[in-house]
Amino acid sequence: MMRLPPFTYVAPRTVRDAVAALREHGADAMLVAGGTDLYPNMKRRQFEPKVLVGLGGVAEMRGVRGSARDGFTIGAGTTLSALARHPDIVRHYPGLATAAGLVSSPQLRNMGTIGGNLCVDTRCNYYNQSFAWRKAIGFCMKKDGEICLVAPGSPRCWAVSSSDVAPVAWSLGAKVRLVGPAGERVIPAEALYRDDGIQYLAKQPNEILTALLLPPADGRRSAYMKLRRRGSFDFPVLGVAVSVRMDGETVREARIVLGAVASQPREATKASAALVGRQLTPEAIDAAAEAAAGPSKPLDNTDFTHPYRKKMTRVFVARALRRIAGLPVSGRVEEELA
Amino acid sequence: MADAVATTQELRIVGQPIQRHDARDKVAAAMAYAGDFALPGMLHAFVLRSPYPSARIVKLDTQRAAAMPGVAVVLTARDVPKNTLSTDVPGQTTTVGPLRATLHVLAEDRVRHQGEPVALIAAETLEQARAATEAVDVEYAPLPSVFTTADALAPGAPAVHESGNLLAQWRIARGDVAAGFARAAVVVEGEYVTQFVDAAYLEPESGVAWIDSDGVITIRLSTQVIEHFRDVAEVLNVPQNRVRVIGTYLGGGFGGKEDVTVEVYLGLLALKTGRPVKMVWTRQESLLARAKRHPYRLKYRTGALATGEIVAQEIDLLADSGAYAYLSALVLLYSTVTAAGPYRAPNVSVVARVAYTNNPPTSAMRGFGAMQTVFGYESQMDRVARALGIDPVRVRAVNTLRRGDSLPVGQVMETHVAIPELARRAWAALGTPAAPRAPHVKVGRGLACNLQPYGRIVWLHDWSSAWIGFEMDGSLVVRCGAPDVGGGQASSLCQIASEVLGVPLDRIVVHVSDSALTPLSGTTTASRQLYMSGNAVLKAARELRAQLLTVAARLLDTDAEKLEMIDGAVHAPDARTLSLRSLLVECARASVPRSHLGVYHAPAGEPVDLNAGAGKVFPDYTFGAHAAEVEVDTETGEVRVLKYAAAHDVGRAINPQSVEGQIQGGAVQGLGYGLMEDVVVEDGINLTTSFATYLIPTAADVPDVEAIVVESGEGLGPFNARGIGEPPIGPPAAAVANAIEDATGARMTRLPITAERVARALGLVTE
Repeated sequence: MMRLPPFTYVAPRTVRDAVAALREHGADAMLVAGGTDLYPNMKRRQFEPKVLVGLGGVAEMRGVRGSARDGFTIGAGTTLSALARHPDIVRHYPGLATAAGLVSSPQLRNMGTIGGNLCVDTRCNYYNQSFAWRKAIGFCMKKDGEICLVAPGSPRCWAVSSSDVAPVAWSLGAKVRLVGPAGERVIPAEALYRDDGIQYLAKQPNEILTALLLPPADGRRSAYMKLRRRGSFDFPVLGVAVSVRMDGETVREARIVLGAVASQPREATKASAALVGRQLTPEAIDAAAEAAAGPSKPLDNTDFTHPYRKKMTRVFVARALRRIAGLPVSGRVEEELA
Repeated sequence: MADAVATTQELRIVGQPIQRHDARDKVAAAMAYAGDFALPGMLHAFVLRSPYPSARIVKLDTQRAAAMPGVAVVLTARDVPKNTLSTDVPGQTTTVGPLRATLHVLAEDRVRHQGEPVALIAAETLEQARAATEAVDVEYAPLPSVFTTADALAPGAPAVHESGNLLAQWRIARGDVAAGFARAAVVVEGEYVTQFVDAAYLEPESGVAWIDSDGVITIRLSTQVIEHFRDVAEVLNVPQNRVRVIGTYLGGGFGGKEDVTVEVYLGLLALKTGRPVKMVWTRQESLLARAKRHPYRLKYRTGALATGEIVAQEIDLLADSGAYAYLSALVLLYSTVTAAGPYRAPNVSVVARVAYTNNPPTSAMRGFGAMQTVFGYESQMDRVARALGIDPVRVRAVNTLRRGDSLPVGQVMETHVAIPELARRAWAALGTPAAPRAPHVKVGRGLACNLQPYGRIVWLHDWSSAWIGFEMDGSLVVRCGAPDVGGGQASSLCQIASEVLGVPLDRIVVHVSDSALTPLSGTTTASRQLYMSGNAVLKAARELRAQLLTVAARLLDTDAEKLEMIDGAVHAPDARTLSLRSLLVECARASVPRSHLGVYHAPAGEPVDLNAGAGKVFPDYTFGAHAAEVEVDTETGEVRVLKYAAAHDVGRAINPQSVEGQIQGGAVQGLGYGLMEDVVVEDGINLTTSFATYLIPTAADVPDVEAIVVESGEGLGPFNARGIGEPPIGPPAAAVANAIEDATGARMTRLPITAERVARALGLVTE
């Protein structure tokens, strides 16, 4: 087996102590919650921290609090399986519960956290390999190398945002709370991400994402659909998050956000705008789905080729909207959650 | 039939679905696998592998690595007593024939594939061994390379080996193919492409070696072939009786542990350091370095009469051997023999070739060349049926070989070919068709049949041996060299001994897989172990029984033939009984041994000249028919297998539980092959070196497999059993492809059949 390299483990009990530990160890330190992404990456030497600040003992970062009327605060340390079956989340934010329930496998959802999935590392066929393999091909710019092996002329890294919950959080208009040495700040979920495979988070390294803040449910309907080769385990190679608020039969507000098509989630703003003020008819849905495929510009650095993933963007957006509209849908997602 | 004696008597233990002695241990994680063993003072070993698919080694300096903390030794090619390893035919056979497949234990001046071993390191800890591996100073100069079989066989292609890139070819020609096509009412042409596939067993390659008393180099490892002790001895340049291999119960083999894995490295390091040493490959290493299943390009041209009767087959096969020969020539022979399937082929030509490339090497994997061809001949069969409007079950029945017919290679079928019955039963098991869930979801059904040899090629003169002996208390010991790869090999031997000697299973202990202490019985490969070692145990048990009953007959004053051995006692017809314990005491007094060594020799034959076109290649075959019902999402191309039934004629099921397990496991592995598994190799670089990218089916991806066990009583194994290890992996890919065409009209010709490929076949994606 591949073994973990040696490291020091720090186990703070409070956010304040965790921030202090991060400050003390600086660039040598990384945060760990469930460890389902971090530990395998450490084994492959994609991450090489000397100190891990474990958030598992920080009680204030766990649990779901709030109400549908006022919105919910989800502690970043809440496990994905707890979130996926939380009755209020399932009822009022079904897209989020679905996304949390589709991350990896049951075992990993029991360990993995919502904060971890929001911050999960970007992925690429040339990066998610053992050290010896990466060394053999001369490394890539994301770790230890100079160039991008997907687009050799590119000045930037094209690793793919592979979070299931990030596009949903974005589509819901959720916010995240970041706590650092200078205190805490709350930013919109979309402001957490940057379109760069390496610096994919706008969070400072010494900041801790402590909570996901959901807005009031307020008649919101949401859905998430995921493309991958198998019915379990796999990271998304396309995620479609849709959130809609209705005025009677008319769409008052709509957000369609695509996952796994770029280094950050991508909002399909034209598609969203096309829905506002209209009813969720099959014709309106098809028009929105057509427009949504526009911002989907995947590269060939995950499973399946980019033309297929782009084509599926349209199908998945249409299906997600049909689900929200209460029209007949079929796809693997429903069956898995049934 | 040789020693495989049929029995008409009522069976008590054979045929019972008995819980195997290893089952609970495995489920409860109590089984000690090869990687679980450790010894005091043990070193840890690691292999330095080539990062490049084709390069000259310009510099190889181990000085700095050898001086690293904890490093015991760093070995390169010049440290290996005999650096050339023969990889032709492992196991308990002596005649190899014309093949001379070799490779270097450690690379000399050149590497031919990514992952080729270059140096070997042992250190006090695994971390130190790894660190030292990275400190070995190797300089490579890239060499010209070739990555497709078509390129490899083109004039002027860079030669992977001096002998040229065409490693082997076989040809069969029979009847008049042109005349056959002239008579045909329909001619179907197809080209099919299959992929590199990994064994992907749960347990990676692993073992521990030490020098035992008397200087015997002892290697305990996960292997399908304990007879590799001879190869280790050859490489180490020591007598063969100085190397002992102990095989553990395997966490999966599938052919991946048929060639040598860690044993030669461990033997070398134990010899060089005098210390115990352990090697466990990481998953990444296993996926990178282990030989794969051969990718094939299969071209078929099939002509049939309006009745569905096939009158002409023109078949061209081309396989990728990767950088070394391993067992490729034999894999290709299996393809050649099975290319036309279990069907009559009066006019047929088969041209089969296998070429070297700088891709990962390929060798044995479940199905061994007889499974890639199923995708070819069963896709063709379905297209013929479709073109003629004939029912899929009927078209197969029309063409099935009858007893006395012969395969294209000229081998006469001396057995009942149950294909029509198997096909009918598998097809019927699908029941009422599912209604599509939505307008864009189409449902379809497909059938695929196959034949798979069991037992080794007849000119390899295969044999197996087993020892059976009673302890004084009447408990029984079985010793047999057969490795148990998880198919219940050891447990089935107990059932056979129990049946013949009337000893309850809980009074039997079986020792397997030790080249020093168990009689050699050959490889657990080629679906041969039940057939061969089952017969050896049967023979040993029957002969021991006869030995003991001679004494019992005297004591009971009756004829030995009238006695029965049941539940640890000898029973006379008049209800008198004699306890085993008393009988054994009497045997000792009468100088009659209470143990016996049974040796079973398979029916042998002379090598077949394929060009001359006549002869027996395999002892016998196992036949199967699988039926699948699938739904296809015509907006995404996603395929979901809704129902699956797999029928095989196993001759007789020794343990129906194990038989069903083999059928279900084989079908699921075959569905993985058909739908998702793919070792992606880009210019010789393996991109799928973890289970995040090398995708095998999960519980969410496969339906329940209904195993239909048919017992014709026609096999050559004990109690007329047939081999069932490999056969169930053959049909699934073709069954699914046929079902997809039934559902959508799209014919899938390339494996794996991913959602994207289906979407493209449906015209959803054109870019």
